[in-house]
Amino acid sequence: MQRRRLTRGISPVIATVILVAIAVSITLLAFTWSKALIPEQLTIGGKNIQLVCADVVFEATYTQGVLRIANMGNIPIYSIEMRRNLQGSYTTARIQNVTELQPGAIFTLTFTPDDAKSITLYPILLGSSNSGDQTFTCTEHGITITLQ
Amino acid sequence: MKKLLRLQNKRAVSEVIGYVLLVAITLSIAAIVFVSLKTFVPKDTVQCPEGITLTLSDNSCTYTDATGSTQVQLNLNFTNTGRFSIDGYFIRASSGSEPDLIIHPLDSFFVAFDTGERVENKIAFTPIAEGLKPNGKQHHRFVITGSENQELLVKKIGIIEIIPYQNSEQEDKPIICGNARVLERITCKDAD
Repeated sequence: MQRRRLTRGISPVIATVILVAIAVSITLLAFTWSKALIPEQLTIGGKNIQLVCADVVFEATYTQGVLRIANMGNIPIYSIEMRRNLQGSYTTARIQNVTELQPGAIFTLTFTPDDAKSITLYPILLGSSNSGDQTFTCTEHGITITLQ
Repeated sequence: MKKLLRLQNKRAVSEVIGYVLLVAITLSIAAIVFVSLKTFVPKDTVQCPEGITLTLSDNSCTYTDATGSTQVQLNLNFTNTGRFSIDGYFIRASSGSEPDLIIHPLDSFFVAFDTGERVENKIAFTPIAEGLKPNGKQHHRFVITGSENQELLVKKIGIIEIIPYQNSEQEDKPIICGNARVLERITCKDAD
């Protein structure tokens, strides 16, 4: 008779506690797993860097072998990515000499286009995240210059 | 009877736990969604107000080569014809008439005459705390000398670009008024 009572199982309170513990553990596991899938968010002044890209205002001209880039907005441009548009293909490289282009600042570069028909310049911004500062290329906010 | 009461009690407890869990899960999901989407909420962007206008008039530019060293003296007369104060400006020049070649910053050639002050890579209207008020006028002078600027000196200044700015009240950086940019053709004459 006593044995039967013992085999009844654990008390409902303990069972509930265990259930809650399991639920919390599963939630934590799912959260940790999903965190790895979601890319880390970069921000500038608490604003998502993708939105900040829309606020970047810069102008670029190419005349007599001189590429001129001026930051006409209020967002510092960390660097510039240049895409050389060739016949049916393109190459991409970051302009090495650009140090952070502060609002109102200008950058000039003597540059030979080689076979490029046109160049597209994309601003690169420096955003902050939990794991430190990272760069982000505003690929939807480029300026294309047609070369003669 | 006692047994029945016990059973009822147990049911009630499990229902409460169920609700607590549901609410907790809902709150957790809401928190996760909020944290992940918080940065996408648009914020006010720092920008210059409409109605900033800086006008240049009666400018003069003289070119001298008398002492063997070339020199360009540029006198600019600013008038604030807008509705807001302007704290200063960025200034650049082209060596020729091509607007795309405005690549020479002139701030380092600023000469503190009676008004104006060079602040880092820009020129501020004085007094700095007030800037140039609407309808206010100031005269600024630039004297360009030195061998590093031979190209600019030899070809002479063709166009100058002025980009006004306002000081931000919240942040310690200027707000660029790119829309209020002034492009002014300059004709330099030989000094008599």
